[in-house]
Amino acid sequence: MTTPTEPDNQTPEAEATVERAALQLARDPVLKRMLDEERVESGGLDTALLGRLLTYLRPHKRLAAVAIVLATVEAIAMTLPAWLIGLAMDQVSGSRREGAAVDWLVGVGGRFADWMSPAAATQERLSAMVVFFGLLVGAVWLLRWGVAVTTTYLVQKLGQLVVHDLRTDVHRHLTGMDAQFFHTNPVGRLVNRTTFDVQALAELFSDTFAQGARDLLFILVLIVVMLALDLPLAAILLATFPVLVAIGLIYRRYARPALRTNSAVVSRMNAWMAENLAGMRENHLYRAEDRRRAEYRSLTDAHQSSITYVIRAWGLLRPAMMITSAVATSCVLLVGYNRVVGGLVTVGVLLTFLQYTVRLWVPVRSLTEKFNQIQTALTAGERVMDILNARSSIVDLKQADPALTVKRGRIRFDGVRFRYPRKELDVLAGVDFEVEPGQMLALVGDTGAGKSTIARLVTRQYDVTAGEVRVDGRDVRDYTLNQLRSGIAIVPQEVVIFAGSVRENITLGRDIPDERIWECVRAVRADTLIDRMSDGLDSPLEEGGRTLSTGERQLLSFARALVVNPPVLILDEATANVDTQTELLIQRALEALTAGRTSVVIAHRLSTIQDADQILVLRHGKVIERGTHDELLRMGGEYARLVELHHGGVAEAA
Amino acid sequence: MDIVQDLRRIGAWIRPEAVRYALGLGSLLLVNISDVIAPVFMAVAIDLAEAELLSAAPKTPQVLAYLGLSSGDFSLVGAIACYLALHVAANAFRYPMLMNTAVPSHRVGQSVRNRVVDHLMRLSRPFYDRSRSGDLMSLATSDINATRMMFGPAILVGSDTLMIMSLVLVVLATLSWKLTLIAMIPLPIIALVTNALSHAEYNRFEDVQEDLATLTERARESYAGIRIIQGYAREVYDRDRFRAFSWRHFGLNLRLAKVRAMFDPTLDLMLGVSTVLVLIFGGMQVIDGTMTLGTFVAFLFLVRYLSGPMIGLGWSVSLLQRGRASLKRLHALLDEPIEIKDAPDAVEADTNGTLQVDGLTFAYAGRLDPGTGTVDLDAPVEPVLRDVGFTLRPGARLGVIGPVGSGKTTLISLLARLYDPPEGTVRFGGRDVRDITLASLRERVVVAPQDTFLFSDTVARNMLLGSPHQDTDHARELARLAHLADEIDALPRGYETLLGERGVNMSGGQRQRLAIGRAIGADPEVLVLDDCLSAVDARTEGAILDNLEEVFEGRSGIIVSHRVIAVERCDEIIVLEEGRVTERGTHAELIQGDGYYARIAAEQMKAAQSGLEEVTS
Repeated sequence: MTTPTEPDNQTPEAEATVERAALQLARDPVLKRMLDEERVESGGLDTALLGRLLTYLRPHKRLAAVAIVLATVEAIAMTLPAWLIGLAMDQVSGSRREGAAVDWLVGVGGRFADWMSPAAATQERLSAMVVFFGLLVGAVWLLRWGVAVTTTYLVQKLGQLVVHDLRTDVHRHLTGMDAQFFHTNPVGRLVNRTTFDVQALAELFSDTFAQGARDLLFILVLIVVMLALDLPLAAILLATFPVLVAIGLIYRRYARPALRTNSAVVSRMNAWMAENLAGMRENHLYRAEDRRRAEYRSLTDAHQSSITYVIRAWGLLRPAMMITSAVATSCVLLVGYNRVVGGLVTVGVLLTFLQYTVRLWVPVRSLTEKFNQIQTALTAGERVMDILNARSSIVDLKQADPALTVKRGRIRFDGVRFRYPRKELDVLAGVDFEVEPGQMLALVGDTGAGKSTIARLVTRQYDVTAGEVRVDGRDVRDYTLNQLRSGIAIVPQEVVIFAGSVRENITLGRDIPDERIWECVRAVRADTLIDRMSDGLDSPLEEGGRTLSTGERQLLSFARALVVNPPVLILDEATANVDTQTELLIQRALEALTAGRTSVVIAHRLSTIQDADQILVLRHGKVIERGTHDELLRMGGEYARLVELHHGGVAEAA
Repeated sequence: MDIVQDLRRIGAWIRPEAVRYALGLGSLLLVNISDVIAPVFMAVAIDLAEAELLSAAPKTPQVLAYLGLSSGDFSLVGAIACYLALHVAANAFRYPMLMNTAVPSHRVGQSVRNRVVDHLMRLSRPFYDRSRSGDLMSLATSDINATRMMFGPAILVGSDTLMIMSLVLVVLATLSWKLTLIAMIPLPIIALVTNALSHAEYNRFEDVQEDLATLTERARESYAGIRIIQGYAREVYDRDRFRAFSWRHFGLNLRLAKVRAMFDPTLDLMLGVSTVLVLIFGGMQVIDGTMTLGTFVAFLFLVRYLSGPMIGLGWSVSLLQRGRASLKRLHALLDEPIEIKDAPDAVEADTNGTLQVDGLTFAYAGRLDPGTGTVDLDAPVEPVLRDVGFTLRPGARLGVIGPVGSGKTTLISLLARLYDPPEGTVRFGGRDVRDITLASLRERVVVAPQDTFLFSDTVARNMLLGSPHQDTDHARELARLAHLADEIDALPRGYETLLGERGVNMSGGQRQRLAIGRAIGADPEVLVLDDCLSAVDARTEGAILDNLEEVFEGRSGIIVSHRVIAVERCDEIIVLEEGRVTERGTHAELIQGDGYYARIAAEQMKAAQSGLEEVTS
């Protein structure tokens, strides 16, 4: 298309109408937010973004080159049949046409006619010529088929390759981001970036760019052919282009907001459905059925309203373009008549032109529709690029020594202060402690006292604001992240179970012999659980481990930590309610787990930490008491007071 | 007959829009008539040109001859004007055609959607236990879409095909029936090819969609489990794993691309075959002089109108096949009986009735297979509750305690009639709950579930789900009672903060407290708390239990828990073990015994004594 890409700013009224209509029907806060999010920016094309996206084509240069060559061949093949038919027509009607290609073709046709019916009457020779041209058209059409199939396939393949690259890039990038990033970005958003937004970009490559390029090529070849055939007739057709493009732009202006609103409504309806199926029990318990029905009805009303706008825009586009091309055809007929009568062109040329005119609007319409996709895809592209541009603040430093590994497990905090990004208060306000190899450190304190933060600093999920965290006498930043984390196993409060086999869940893909796995499984007493499953270690687990109980998940998580045999273990105790028997089981497993290695335990139950070598009582980011269980009780401070309080509470209840 | 029933169903859905459809199809007929006649005038123009060139009398296309007209009756400008006028008319009618078919078809689609949701809202627990939500989702989305495609494009394109086929055939046959027959040779093949291709495309597309769900799940897992993946330094393994899934998805997409790449070019090829046939045989006729040049040209253009509808026929047949299958599934859902509903002679529940459970033995119908998520209805099942009984007078409080899996939640579900208890076992105000209207029973008996569901809605609207008052002040009061007010105030937009998928996530403890607030908001006579303090820390639990004293003013309550502290203030406590009531009495009485209650009371006390039990979470 010849017109530059215009910014879409001149359309707020149209946009507002559709959206307002939809929002008035469905007063749905979520839908409103979705529409707001979609409207991020409707500026012009971002060429920098486009350029960066195009770099994804570089690894597939050869494929892209082949596709472009084939697309050119295809464009030529598209224009050939009409030209050949016109030529055949001239042979039939006895008109003569000039030109080297024409002479050559007619010559070949003549030899074909000679071969078919040597020395026959003129009429039979003519028939033979018609057959010749007919077969030629058939051959060209067959070629066109082959080229079109191959090109479409290659272009799709190209697009999918780019998507695969981009998708794995996004995933690789995200899995390297720091804890803060995951804290501020909900998982759902990241998932959408990785799959749906990348998919939208796929369509940009395979449908929009590629198909658009083919449409453009076709139009270009068409113009060249027409100009070569007859200038005045070509001029008529060229004159219709601006009209068609203008129609396309007007369509775009009305269709885009409608399409966008409609797609937002559709996703909201789907989300609504998923959610209400999941929350049906609540709907029943709280007699919300009527309210839900009304909600959904309002969404279907909004859907109907926005789809009507879409249909209306579409219902006007095609007729407007077809009327334009009918006008063009009429002009071609009128002018062509006079030129044929005047002997300036042959009837065949007129026929060729007529066939071109009726097809002219097809590529223009398809380009118009492509334009909407470009916008949508670029918005998605921008979101994906934002993700790829985000930098992790926790990376291997230059000083990091790849050979350095955690061996003994001595942990030392020196005047550690820490403040979370964009927060005003220090979570840790100067913490010092040292844990000897093989000892157990227990952290006690209220929510927000800084227990989890200490654990996060050891594995460098965050970097200290001031002070130093040392492992085996070296600053944690001297280790590579990989080596540091390989030496420290964490057992979080909420167990993560991946979809996959029991084995994969325990080894996390490491190559570990079965005997070793079983050894660990037995040590944490998860063997009875696995024995109960039909395929032992190969039994599949569902995502989130839904088929397992809380306690069973916990045991698997212990096995996962044990199998690494790490010098340091960080344990965030679970609070979830398990029955007394399971609790006992877990207790014993914990003993096996912590034996012989340094452990940092974030304590929620006291039974675990009575044997701790050191207990830190934290308040507002400071260590207010430290010592063993007995020492702290004897000290009669906060720890003892809390114990007393609870002791008393239950005793009184009894 | 199957097809008769399907047609009757389709008819019933479409009937409200019958007038619009008639208008739309009427417009379509006008579109087609104009479209088909227009090329005849192009033929006249060409014939006029040729006549002028050869200085002979213009030949007349057969169609015009039948109408008693001849090319000589038209000037060139006149012929072209007719051509243009017909095209403008055809396209002018395209708009009402689309507005009166596509728009009403969507409206029919909306009524299907609404009917489905109406029914889903009425279906009861046992149905949802039996069905997988993925299946229901696909019914509500792709099946409804497929039926909409049947009501819209399939009908439109199908009618278009029939109309234009007959029109074009009439016109072509009058031009030259011989050539018409020849040009029609590839048509059946077109229909078959289109149909086959669109089926293949559909199936492969479904595969891609299904795999996309898996891929999405893998990505979700990576990000949700990032702490473990990074914590164990297993990023490389996880990336390789994701790459493998992504690559498989690439393969499936390529499989789909193969069919898609075939689609348009193949149909175009069929048009080519027709064109070649017309060119060869029509050209010969022109040479013979049995056909005018103009007629030949008209043929070339009309052939296009023939192949279009054949493509459409193949397409609409496959839409119809898909739509029929989907409609069948939708009707199966709509015919699904509602198991728990008002009895014909149901009455409103009494106010402040006594809740009485007597000899309640209950077993779920069928057994859930965790592997497939389906319920085997014939599998033998053990009763979950055996001969349970208790009486809850207005204003009284009952504690229910017992280990995991003892049937506590089942008992609660029966009180609100999420499942139907056996006749006469559960009574409210002396009347069997099965004889009470569901609405009035659930107005009086309200359950706060252990793991409640939060909707993508504001905090206030989630809190006020069952409440007669919808103002934020009321939500504020409920939040205070549930000890959640401070945390809500700390949210970015307070009570207007969106929860759920696109909003803020709440922790387990916050969710439970919201559930308590929600239940209090429903202002029930019997407030049932189903173990909804389990994820709340001890200090908060104590505060909420104190607030509940205020809440229970003037209502009765049932508190289900696995912790003694939550039930010790109740007027009566029952202990459920393996579905049976093994102990009953007050806290003081039970603590003296040597049963489950006394045992866990001692354990929980010991845990507290040995330290600050759960003081920290």
